[in-house]
Amino acid sequence: MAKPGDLLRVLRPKSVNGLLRLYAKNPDTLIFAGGTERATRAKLASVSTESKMVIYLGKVEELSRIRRSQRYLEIGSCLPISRIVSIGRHILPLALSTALRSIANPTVRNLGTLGGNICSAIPNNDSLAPLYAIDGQLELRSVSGSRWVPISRFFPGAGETVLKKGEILFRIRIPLEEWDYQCFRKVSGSHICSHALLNFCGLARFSKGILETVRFALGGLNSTVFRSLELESRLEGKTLPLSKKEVESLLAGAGELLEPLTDSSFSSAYSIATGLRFLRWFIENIHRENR
Amino acid sequence: MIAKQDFIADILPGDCLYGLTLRSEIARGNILSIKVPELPSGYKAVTAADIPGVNYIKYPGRMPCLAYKKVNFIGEPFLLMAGKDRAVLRELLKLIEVEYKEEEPFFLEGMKDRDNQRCRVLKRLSFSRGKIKESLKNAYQIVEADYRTVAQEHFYADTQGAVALWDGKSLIIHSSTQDPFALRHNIAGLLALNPRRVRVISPTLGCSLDGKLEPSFMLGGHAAFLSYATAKPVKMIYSREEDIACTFKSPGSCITHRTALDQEGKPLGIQVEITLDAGAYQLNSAHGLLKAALSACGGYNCPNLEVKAQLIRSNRVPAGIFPGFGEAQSFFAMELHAARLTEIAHEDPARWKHRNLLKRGDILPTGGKIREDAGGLPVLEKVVAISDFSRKHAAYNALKNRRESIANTRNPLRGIGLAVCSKGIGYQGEDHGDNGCTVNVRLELDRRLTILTSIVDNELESSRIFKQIAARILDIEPEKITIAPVDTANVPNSGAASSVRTLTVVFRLLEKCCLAIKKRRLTSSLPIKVRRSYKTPEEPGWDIESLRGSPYREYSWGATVLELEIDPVTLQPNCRGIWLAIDTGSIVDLLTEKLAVRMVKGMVIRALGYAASVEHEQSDLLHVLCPDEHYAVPGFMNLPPIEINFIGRGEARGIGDLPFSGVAPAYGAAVSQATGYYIDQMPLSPGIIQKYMEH
Amino acid sequence: MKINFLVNKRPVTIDGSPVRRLVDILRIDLRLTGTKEGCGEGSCGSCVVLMNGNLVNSCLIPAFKLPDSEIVTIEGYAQSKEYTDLKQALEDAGAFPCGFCSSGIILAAGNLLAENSSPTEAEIREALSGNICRCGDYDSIIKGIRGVTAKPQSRRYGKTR
Repeated sequence: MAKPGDLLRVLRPKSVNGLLRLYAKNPDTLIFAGGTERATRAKLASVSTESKMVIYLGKVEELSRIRRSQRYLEIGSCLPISRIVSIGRHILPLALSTALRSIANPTVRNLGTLGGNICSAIPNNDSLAPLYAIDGQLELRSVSGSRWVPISRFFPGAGETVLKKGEILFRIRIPLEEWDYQCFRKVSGSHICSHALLNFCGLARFSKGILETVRFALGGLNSTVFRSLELESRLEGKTLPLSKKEVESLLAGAGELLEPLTDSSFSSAYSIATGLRFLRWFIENIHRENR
Repeated sequence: MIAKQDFIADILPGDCLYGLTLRSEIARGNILSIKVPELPSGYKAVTAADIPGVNYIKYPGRMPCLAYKKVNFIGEPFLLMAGKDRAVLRELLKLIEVEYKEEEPFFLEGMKDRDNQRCRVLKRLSFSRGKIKESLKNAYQIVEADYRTVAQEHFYADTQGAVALWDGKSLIIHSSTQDPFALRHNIAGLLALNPRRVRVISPTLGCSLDGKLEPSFMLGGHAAFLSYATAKPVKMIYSREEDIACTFKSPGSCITHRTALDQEGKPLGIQVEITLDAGAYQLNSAHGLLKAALSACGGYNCPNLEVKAQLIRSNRVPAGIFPGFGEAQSFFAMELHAARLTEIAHEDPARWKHRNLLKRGDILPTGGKIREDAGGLPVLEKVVAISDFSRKHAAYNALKNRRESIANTRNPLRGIGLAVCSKGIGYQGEDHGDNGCTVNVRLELDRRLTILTSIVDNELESSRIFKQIAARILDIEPEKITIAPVDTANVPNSGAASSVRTLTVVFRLLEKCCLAIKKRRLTSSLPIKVRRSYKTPEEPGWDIESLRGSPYREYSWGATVLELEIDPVTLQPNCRGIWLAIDTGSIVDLLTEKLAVRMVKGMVIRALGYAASVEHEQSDLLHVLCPDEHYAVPGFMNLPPIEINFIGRGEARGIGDLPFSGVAPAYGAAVSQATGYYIDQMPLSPGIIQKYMEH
Repeated sequence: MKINFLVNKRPVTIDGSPVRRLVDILRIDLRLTGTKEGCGEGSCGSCVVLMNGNLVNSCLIPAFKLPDSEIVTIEGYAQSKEYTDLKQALEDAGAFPCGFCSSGIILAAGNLLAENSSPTEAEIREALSGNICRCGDYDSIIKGIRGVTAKPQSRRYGKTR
């Protein structure tokens, strides 16, 4: 009897053009990078039976580049997380590097990639809330060309991405802006391979005691990462520290927006309540600089 | 020691087949038909109908080795398949068509389920002393509360496995079992063989955490049966997902406490109702029920008490032996309830316990006196001193009273909890495990010494201690002492590996053997073979029917203090310190302080993990994809400082599972103080704490 | 799929399914059973090996990633002087009651010490945060690692650029 996996073809393209041509010809192929989501024992067993072809991205050098310009940092989608953290030590926004350093554990970070963390479309993945907050941009490429999509438009629904057939996530562009206050916090279930249950990222810029820019994002609530430009704009222009009334009003507004995002399950009640507590903690501490 | 030896998963005989198991997808019902497709050459499937001997494993309650028509839990095995390639086996299993007729299952999910008509009681136990009804009637105040624990996973590092080799006449089986002779006995029955034709060999074992008893007989039986059916070596190793899905768990429990208090808050009557969930099959749970009943009232002195305990059947994975089997559940309820009582009395828990714990000369709930030097007071006093419990408790209470509500708090919520527990050693009822436990020692021709026992307990470093004991008595260098490999063909039956048995029975038997050799070595010719066995006394010191007498020969005591703080934003408890004072006799002389401390610390760390696990859906474990997400297995990053203090007097009595009885209620009491809510369930997680806040 | 790679500096050729996991190739095909499997999903650290100088979970590496790579297992690392020092220090500290986690932890500790010859306790905990010891003997392990005499590491064992 033919063993599962006997018929499986694995392609290891060496250039991005080669990759895109292959992928265009075989759009139903499974894409494989770090493998930390795909290669668990249970999932790998199904790869060999459900797929006829796998394209391994690890040999495409352009996908592992990291480049800096004055305004941006651009990270290839297949660079291992641990490499991003070590190379980008002094450049990455603090909130993002904190988030990346909290993913899983050190050995998994040597394999896992930022592209995988994004494309697996799991809303509690740790890179997402910070990427939403800093307005990360994603470059998607196919043989037809390339397009840029803001991260907030990348997930049309639970577990889905806007990647078309034959399209891959090529790189992630992170604006390098000055922030006066940044934070990333998460709640994780397990101690040793911390899948986040919930995570929060907040950023603020202020001068002379006035809030200029505020961003915050909450990940892990069901199917999306939550960010509200409307709530953020309510805070902009306010004097720091915020008054109790302003804080309560903002939280009430956030509560209204969060409620419909979740189902009525047990973990959901905790997620909403904790999400609101994260938000309160953020805006009450916002005036503390941590450049 | 650094592992160079083979664990069960490392054993791979030549020409070996793998075995996989098909498991029930329904919690209760019947298998109407099984359609196995045509299998390629070299692949074979077997079911219960093909078993040559008796289709059950026994320890001592029975459960089918392979379900035949009737299934009682999701994950119950009913078909086995062997073949050369595991990936092919997995695909073949998927092609098997099974027709089920489902029936409505029963689960113990909350207190109200106890009253469900469909709740089947397997066994009842009760005892009482004094006049409980009167004390409740005349009480100044009655405090009643329900406590719940859920089934939990052992999560040993190395998953279970077995490698069986049938040669047509006899069977050799390598198994990661804690009880090689019980395995041998079970396999002999399964395959209708004389036990002499079954040889069990133990590879190196990781720390088994009491999880490798009953499940190992099942798994060993499966591997043996497949080897018998295919006439080839068969290896079966559980993946982590399968191990979580089908090996046995700690029993879930629902316990109600009703306490009559006088005006000063002193307990006049304690009434306890225990329901323990045996899961789908009883196996060893009756013993767990007994231990739960005996620990129900904790270590308190109360003239009027009544304990009613029942073991029920549900459609969960069966309950199996677990650290603190039965006792941990009872102490959880009792000590959390005691924390509630002291809170109501506005008293320092340490003082309250000091007043109410059994003292020298007092009578235990089930009869039998607290002998001199025993009792919970010495460990209580010690742990309070080393942890500074009373001062911190008062300080955290003051903090709690000053704060408006958790919602408005910005500082971590602090709490500290205290629990005092006992562990009975040397069961004096009917035979249970120790009787017949044997150790052999041989002084060889070349003057080397060989120690033969079926128990090798790596967590306890038993081999090293055996050598130390022998070296000391016989004045031989440890390098000249060999511990025989555990092989039922060569070693005697020393019973199941458990730290209590090893410390209190096996070491003593070894000492006796060595002393006997010492006497004979100058006069007898070599080799000298000595054998010593443990015999339980003729007259049981305790009657199980009337529950009168003293159920245990002696008791060990442990007092635990646990301090934590809860993050006000995430509600995650973070343990800041654990202190444990233990009175286990002169264990430290036997083990050395370093080893004893290491062992207890390991248990405390595991107990902490059990107390803080994330809750998950228990009735279906077969489809858990990411097992680690559900268990807060403690790792390098989140360990609190742990201080262990031994106050040992008298003979070494065994540490047993004291940390498992004490850590969870101390944790719960600390969370209670920190949050201001009466905690009544385990495990706790931030989500569960949120639930308390909302109600 | 035919794959050529190096294991403990020796060339190896494997012919099999391209998704066969490295942990199975090592343990079953090559009979290098020092590497263990505890969870199959990268959370326990029992299966850790060095791949091209980086510490990875071999249970997460399918065969198709292996061509031209260099793998070092505990058996390979055990030939080094660094291993001898580390092993002695851990034994002196009384670590590893059962030994199941020892391969993964020794490789992780060796990897840390190669980059940082006198780590703080916090750094040790962080570096080993992907390894569990179910015997709970964390204190002895940390003590053992700190007990290793700091020696300048001229190159990281097994690393290739």
